[in-house]
This record gives sequence, C-alpha cells and structure tokens, in this order.
Amino acid sequence: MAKVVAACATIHSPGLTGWIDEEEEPKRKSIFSGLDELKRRLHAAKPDVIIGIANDHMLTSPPYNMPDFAIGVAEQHSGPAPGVDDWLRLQPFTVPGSRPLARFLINEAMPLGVNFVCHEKVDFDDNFSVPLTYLTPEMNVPFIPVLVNCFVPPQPTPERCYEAGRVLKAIVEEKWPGSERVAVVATGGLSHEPGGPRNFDVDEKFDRWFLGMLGSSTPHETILRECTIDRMDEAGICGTSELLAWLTAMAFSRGPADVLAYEPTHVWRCGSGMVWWPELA
Amino acid sequence: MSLLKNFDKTSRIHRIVFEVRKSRELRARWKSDFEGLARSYGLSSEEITAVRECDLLKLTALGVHPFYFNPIIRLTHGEDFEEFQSTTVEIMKRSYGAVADPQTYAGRG
Repeated sequence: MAKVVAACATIHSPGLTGWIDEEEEPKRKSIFSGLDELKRRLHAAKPDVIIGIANDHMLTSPPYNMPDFAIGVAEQHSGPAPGVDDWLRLQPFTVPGSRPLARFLINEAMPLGVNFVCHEKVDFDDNFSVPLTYLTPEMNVPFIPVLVNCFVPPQPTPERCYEAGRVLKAIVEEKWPGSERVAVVATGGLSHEPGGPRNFDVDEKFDRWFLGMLGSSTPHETILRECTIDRMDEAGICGTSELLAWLTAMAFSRGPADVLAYEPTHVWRCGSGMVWWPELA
Repeated sequence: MSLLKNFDKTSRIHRIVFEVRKSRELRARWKSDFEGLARSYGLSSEEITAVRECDLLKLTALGVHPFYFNPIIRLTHGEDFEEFQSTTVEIMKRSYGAVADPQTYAGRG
C-alpha cells in the first residue's frame, strides 16, 4: 500500500523569487535557511509523489465559480502561468503529474463526502511555482495540485479542510492499490492582506500565535476551533486564510510541528515561515 | 470597512479580470483599448472609470473581490517590479491613506 512519508507547510510568497533582495538580509538568511532544511527533510523522505495543497488565487477558477476543493489531473503541469511569469521572474518549467492517482483521489472522495472538482489544467502561479522552485528544483517528482478555496466566501471551515485532508490520507493509505511514498506540501500564508490597506503590512503577533500553536502540543481540534476564518481575516483579509491549506495538511500529522523559521517579512508582503510535522497520523 | 462587505460575486469586473489575466492578447488590448474591451464585457461607465483609475474604495463599493486589486493595478500599470511597486504604493496611499504606506512599517520587526 502507498504510504504518506512527509507532511509540511511553507509560504509561497512571490517575493521569494520576484523581489528576493529587496528584503532585509538577516530575514532572507533565516527564511532561506528554513527552506533549505525543509528541502533536506523532504528529499530524505524520498517521495515518489508530492500532493501540493494551496489556494487558487482566482486564476484557475474565477471568484464567481470557485469550488471548495479541486484537484489537477494533468499528465504534466507547466508554470508559471502567462501573466504572472514576468512578475515572478521564473523561467518556464514543467513538472510531471500523476493522472491515475489524481483521478482516484477525486472519485474515491465522492462516497466519503468530499467534492474535489476536476481540473484538466491548473494554472500555476506563486502558489505552486515558488515552493517547487526551492523544494524540488529538478521538477522531477510527480506532483498533484490540490486547490482549496481560501478566500472566496463562503470558504470551507478549518474543520472541513481538515476533514478533506483526512479523506485524502485515507484514500492514499487505505484504498489506492499502488505502493508510492507520498509527501504532502501545503503552501500559503502567513499573515498578509493583498489589495487591502495592509497590503504592505504583516501581523507578526498573529503569525507567532499561529506557529506557537502548531509547534506546541495543542490538540488539532483546539487549533481548528481557535484559528477561525474570522481570526485569520483580522490578521489580513483575503491572504491570511491561505492557512486553510496548512490546516488541510495538518490532517496528515499528529502532534506538534517543528517550526523551521519565521520572520515578519514586510517587503515580501507576508509573514514568512515553514513547518514540518515529524509525526504522521 | 470590511473589504468583502459588498462583495458581489456576479460583478462583470471579475469576469474581465479573470479572462484578461490568462490571455496575452487581452492583456495587450487592456493597455491599448481598455474602454472598448470593458464595454465588450458589459461594464458600466462607473465600473470602467473605477477600474481605469484603480479607485480601490470605489471598486470595493462596486463589490469587486480585493484580491483582484493588485492584478488590476498590474494590468493597468505594468508588470515590472519597480514600476509596479511605486505605482501600487501611490494607489494604496491614495485609496486608504497613510495606513497603507509601507514607510509606516519600515524597520518594524
């Protein structure tokens, strides 16, 4: 049977590729050190497939037709999407998909009560392009993009996202006939408010509170109850709630996460950090 | 002010931004003939003015999702980081006041 071998979460700030050097050097060093450690652990887990979980920046689906959850089933993905390529300053890349497993996840989730919309094509912007650039720069690990509606009301609740994560895990480990080693990488957050008055600000207090909970022995049920969408919106509306992707990935774990880095990176326009869950569910 | 208080999922501005972001041809047309393009999407004069001037408070009142504000600024004023950054600062300050000025946060943390 297939096995989940890693669960982690990281930011996907476009500043990490688009305007790296604008940020203060100590903050840059701290965050890239965290990313290096995340990459080291991810490679050590030797994944055959990576399930990426992130928000749709209203690029693949529009705000008037945004599914709660979606999965990309393409044989091969490409990025960065036209229109964001100049801005991200990334060269065009392709990464293999895993159509059989992606289809299986969508179809097997139906009787388990989670509707994953099927996307033949997912437009990769910073959500997946930035983390893949740092974590698997060879772009050779088959990748399944899972999209979560993080900021088009009404979003799925933290509990619902966690449930969707549990369903994905159950399908991979209990139903899929393959024997792949599967890693789960959530991306997004931390606090930011793109387009709003706090476009250039971050909420360091919120970020440290959130990471403090993840890094402690706080039960997952408590984290889900405390980290409401309203609480995330208070820390930056239409940005901070990208952390719903992290809460989806948290379902693959148990116990506290290792917080690998945190910096209030105003210039990159989000709080920056990444976590690794050492104990899997 | 809640940025999503007036969110109108049916706003035609969402449709034009969604489709233009994905098309090189439409992005060029946005720059060369925004009004004609916007009319073809059924935008009203009020909506056309709000988008062209990147009037974020007006766009909020018209129900546009705030996540599309930065894409609207980029489509209108360019993709280059420096150009986009300085233009965005001015637009944010004009719309929201000093609270949106990155200088307010310089050196914090």
